[in-house]
Amino acid sequence: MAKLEKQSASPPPGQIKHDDHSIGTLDSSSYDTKGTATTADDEMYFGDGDKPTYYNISVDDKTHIELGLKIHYRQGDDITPTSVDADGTAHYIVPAGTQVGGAHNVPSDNPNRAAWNFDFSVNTGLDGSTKTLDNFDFRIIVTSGDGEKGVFDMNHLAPGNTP
Amino acid sequence: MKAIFGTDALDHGETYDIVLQAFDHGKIVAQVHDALFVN
Repeated sequence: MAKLEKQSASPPPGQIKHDDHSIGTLDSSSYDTKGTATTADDEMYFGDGDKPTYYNISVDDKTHIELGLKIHYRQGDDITPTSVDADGTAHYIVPAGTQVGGAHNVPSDNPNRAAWNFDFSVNTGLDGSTKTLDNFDFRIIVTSGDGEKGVFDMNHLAPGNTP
Repeated sequence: MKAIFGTDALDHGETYDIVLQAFDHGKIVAQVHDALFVN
């Protein structure tokens, strides 16, 4: 992990040269299609009913990695971006306060949770690549406007196990 | 949230940048970035 600490959390534009950015549905190898042609039953492997749609997607065509971030009402509907910058940064407006049920398909109140949440997806097997999560390292950085920062390095617990 | 981001974590006007990065042998190879405004 020491090597990661040397990397910039915000590399200057152009440093990552192979990325293509889009808003939409993840590659079909990133989620469970249930083996059916319909998209109605598609869902992420990490949760029933979590759709692969409306992700902010970055694909590196050199390493064949797909990264995805989704913003949504906690336990509810997806939140779509209001704008997207040329470098792929997507801008969202999220609700203040805690989780409130009754709208946006949010099932119930939860005074101990924020009204919004995010999901992430990592796929190292695009374009037939046989590399796995073990071949790379991943980090999530959350920074508030006040400057507080949470840095979350994902651990490789065992071969094939990078939760 | 409040434990990391303070008592105003859920308040109107707060902003967040969420970045997911991938590294190959310590070199960043991919990144995706969302910018949030709490309203």
